[in-house]
Amino acid sequence: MGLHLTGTRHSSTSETSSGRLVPLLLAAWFGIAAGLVEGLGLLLFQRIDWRQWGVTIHVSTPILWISPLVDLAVFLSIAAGLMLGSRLWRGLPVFQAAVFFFVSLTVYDWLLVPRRLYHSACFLLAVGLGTFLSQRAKRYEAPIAGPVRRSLPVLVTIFVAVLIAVPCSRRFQEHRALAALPAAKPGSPNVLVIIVDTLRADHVSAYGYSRETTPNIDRLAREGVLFENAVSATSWTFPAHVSLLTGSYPFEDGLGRVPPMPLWNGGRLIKSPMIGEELERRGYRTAAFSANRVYFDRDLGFGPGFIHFEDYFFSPADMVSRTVFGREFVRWILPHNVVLRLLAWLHVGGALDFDAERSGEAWMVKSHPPRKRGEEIDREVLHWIGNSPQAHPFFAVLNYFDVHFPYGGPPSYSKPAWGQDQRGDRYDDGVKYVDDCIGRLMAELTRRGMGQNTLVVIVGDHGEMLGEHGLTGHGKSLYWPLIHVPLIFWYPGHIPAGVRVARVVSSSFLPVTLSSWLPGKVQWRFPGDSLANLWASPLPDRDGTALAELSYNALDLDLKHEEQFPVPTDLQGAMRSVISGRWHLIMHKQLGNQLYDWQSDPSEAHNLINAPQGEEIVGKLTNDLLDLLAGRQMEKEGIEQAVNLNPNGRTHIEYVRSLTEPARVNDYYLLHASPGAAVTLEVHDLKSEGAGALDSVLAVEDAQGRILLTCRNTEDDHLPLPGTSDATPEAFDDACVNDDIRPGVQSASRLQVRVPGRGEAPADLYIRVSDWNGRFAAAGTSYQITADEAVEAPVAGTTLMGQKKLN
Amino acid sequence: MQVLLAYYGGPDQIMTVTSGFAGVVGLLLIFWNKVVAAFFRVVRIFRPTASDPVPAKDENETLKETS
Repeated sequence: MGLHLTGTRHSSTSETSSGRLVPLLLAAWFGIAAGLVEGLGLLLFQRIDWRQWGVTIHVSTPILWISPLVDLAVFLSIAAGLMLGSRLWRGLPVFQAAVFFFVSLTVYDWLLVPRRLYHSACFLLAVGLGTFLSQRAKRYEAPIAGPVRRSLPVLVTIFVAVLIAVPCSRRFQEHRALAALPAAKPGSPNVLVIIVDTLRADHVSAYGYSRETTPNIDRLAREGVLFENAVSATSWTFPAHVSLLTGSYPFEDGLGRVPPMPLWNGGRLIKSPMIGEELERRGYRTAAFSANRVYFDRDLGFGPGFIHFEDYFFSPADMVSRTVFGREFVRWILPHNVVLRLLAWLHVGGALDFDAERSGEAWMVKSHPPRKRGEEIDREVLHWIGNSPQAHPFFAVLNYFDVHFPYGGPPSYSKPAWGQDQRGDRYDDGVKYVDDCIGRLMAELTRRGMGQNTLVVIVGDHGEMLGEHGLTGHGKSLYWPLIHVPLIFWYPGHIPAGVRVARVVSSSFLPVTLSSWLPGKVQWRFPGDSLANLWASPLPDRDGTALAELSYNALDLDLKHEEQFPVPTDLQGAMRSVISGRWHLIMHKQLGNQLYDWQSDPSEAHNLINAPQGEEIVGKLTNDLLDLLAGRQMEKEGIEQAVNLNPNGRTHIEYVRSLTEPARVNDYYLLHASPGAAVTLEVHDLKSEGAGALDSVLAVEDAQGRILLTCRNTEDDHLPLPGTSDATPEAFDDACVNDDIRPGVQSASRLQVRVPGRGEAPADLYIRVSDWNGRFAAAGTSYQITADEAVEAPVAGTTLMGQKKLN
Repeated sequence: MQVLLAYYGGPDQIMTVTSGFAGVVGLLLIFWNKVVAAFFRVVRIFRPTASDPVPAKDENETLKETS
């Protein structure tokens, strides 16, 4: 039957047989148009709003066909309702009503996409426009109907093209990538990397936890290698996953926070090569399956590391709940008691298993997509792996998200036998649930004959605070429960069984371990040391150094609304920590340092920063950290072009250092000063503030390269609690390291040093200037270093020498 | 265009202002016919036009004018 809309103003379309279908045609037109614009808008604005990445619901390119489909269904339902209504009430102005509903809903839809108006304002404006236009639609029914009829086929064509093109283009790309894979070396095993999001090591029974939370992981640990003291590179998901897949520390990639995103797919967000790319060159087919769709997904830059990636849209409910009308349904309709009872009656309570992923309070959208559970991850990966061995071995990375808050596993999950009163109890429920999923996955792999030729790695991306230090959740800080993660390798017959390695290692060594240990030519040398050396010949001690870091958190708007934390957090400034076989030094940019003996005090309840035994440790660990930031293993020998900048014995010295070529700033200056002198040192970037500025760190060492302990930081002395002042502002009792003079000014550092020693002979002090971020400064970067003797204790003979040549 | 960009790039606090403005516009549109009618009613009060009927003068005043 051909559909027509009448073209004259004298005959009403609603009176003809085809005219009765006008609401349906309008619904199709508005539904497709609204959905296409909505899909594009959601993709566009999530990139524009990359600073709010953590508090918004995300989508990827399939939204381009999902949104029109959902909108089409909504609008057609309304049209059907109107047509039914017109049969019951013959006087119903169907055309006007259709215009009112479709215009209002379309405008409401589009206004919500940028999230720059409150919902109530969007609603009023949309209803206003709908009312205004519907009142005039009666007179212009035919002029409206004509263009709608003519343009509808074009819209339908575009919609169908998108519906076909988006899924097919991905499949085509995957097919092409698989066809281009080289043959793998004989003996190349499958590799399954299981990242358990938010799993702290001390809640895994293989790590000595009193509850049997992880019988399946324990079995793998007994049959493989367990690293007792693995340290994550950070304490939250995005940079932790970057480190796990690239081997880089966040400061090396500049990916401590979500990076600015191009409006369209242009360039790589994660610059460093990923282990998946390395293994593809060795003939591996690669895939990732992520349940943490906020911080481990294709759109955030992880796509290049995998041929196949499954993140969003794992179910129809997930698809619908990410569209605008789906979000509104979840927000307004779903929480009502009637709906809840109906869902319970239908035994679909799982529909209320919401994710932590959400739009935050700041955006007024309290909507949640459904949570992607471990069982779904198992189903996805097993479907992708296939029932029989393929031509290429696989490399699969899984992210299980069930340990993450909200704790407890799925609502339908039978809770373990322990109590359910405490936060830690529910956290353990999630651990047990993930362990069950891992157990089922391993059993299925064994049933498919892949149990003996698959290397399995189990690792946590970061830990979780369960009330220690007054903190919950993760990010925020770098305490031991946040960075101590499980790390287990399992490959029976190829990796020794029952080995427990005590040495402190970084989980970021995973890529270099896989790259160097798996068969095939190494294409890219990942940073760090291969852990395979440790299971081949385990060292008896814990000695080893790991770094963890946390960038300044100026982005997560929802955290800004929380109450003041009782300890220094990333909301006040960036943090770095160095972990040795016994000690854990946490350096905070604004609030000073903390030192813990994690071996005897794993909960880190006692800060030893001012204890006598801690002073030397602080100096050593600080130096280790600065060496690491400066590019690892810098040479410190040989002063070149030592120029006496102070031949006249002035008490004020200035020196400007300019870089002629890009380099990591790691400069030494020699200061001759009489013992007892109080000298104020300052470093100022002369070029700029902001992202490109030198974020200077000032340290004072003795001739043996030890950080001195005779300094005063008026701004961050002695770890004052947030909002409190320095208790001993005049005391020279700090480690001689300083970063920012004050929050918000990152390009200047100041430190007062009391020159140690006795007698009249000048002492030699080395002043070290480096960059907190360890990055390469651009050519032309210049800074000024000044030294001033304190007025109250002038000491003649203070001299600042020229810079010391390094490497 | 620049106004739109400023509106989008502005701080979150601006949402209150823009939302209030959008809400008022929406209300005006919903009651547009009444708003227009009320507007012209007000206009007519202050600026009577030539087409408006001239009010009949008081008989006494007519007498005063002619005397």
